[in-house]
Amino acid sequence: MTKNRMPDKAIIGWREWVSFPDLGIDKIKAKVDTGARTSALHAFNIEEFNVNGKHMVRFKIHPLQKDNDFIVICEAAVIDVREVTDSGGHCEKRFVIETFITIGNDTFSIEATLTDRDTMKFRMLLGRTALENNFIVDSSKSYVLSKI
Amino acid sequence: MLLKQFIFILLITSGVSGQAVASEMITIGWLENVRIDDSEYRLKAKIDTGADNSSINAEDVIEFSKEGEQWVKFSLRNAWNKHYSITKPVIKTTRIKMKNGNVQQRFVIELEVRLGKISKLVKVNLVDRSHFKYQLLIGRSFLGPQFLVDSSRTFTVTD
Repeated sequence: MTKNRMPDKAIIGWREWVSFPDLGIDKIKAKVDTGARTSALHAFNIEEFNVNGKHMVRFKIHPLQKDNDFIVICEAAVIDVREVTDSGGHCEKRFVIETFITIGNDTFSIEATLTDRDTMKFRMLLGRTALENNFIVDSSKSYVLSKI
Repeated sequence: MLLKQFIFILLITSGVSGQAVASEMITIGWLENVRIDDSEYRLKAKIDTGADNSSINAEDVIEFSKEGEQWVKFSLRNAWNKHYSITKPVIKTTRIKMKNGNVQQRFVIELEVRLGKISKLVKVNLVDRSHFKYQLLIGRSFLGPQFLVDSSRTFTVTD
């Protein structure tokens, strides 16, 4: 049993405020989810378009959980289109984008799938791939790194 | 002789440091082997900081009444295809709203789940996880303030 924590990894709680500088999202509440491999963003009105042959998506986000009037319009490059199985066992085709995320003092690039499931309580899920190099999770705490 | 003494000192010191870290948090991976109810029965568990509670894949669930109380009998099957039968009183019946909008009825029982040297009595939802890779999902109510989860690692606990 490992009793020493990795000194180079910061501890985060199971909920954190994060931001996406390139998407224009100053703050969005993320659920830190070691049960999910890939991160997911709750997006709607997802449209594909092309810029000089580059596959892009435009989508809208309600970054604030209880404020559906506040919408941020985002654009990002599509790096993949993937079949994703949710916890109910349903398969869905989703766009995967790559963008920068800021958590605490760290800004790094992550991959996130876009999903328009309305039933998602959190607008952002932070999965294992995004966590593994930078953080370990203390699930008894929330908003450990958030300064917003 | 010298070697014997050395081992003795090593045992003493490791025992002392073991005590000293008892109150510290233990870092585990996102997959771990756990044992159930004091038995040697092993299950692969997914450690899920996104889930409030724990749930387990229960097969052949039979609900029955014993001295006026609601009980369930069910069977577990692990990754090594071994079965294990459990009979427990039902603590609670919850209605879970699924992502597709359907409502599912779930029995909640209490299980002793052991991870390495720590054992906890934890409420577990009986569900159909047959289409999932891992039979047991461990949520935050088990992890509490004792465990940290490092999602870059798996099966860090040996016993």
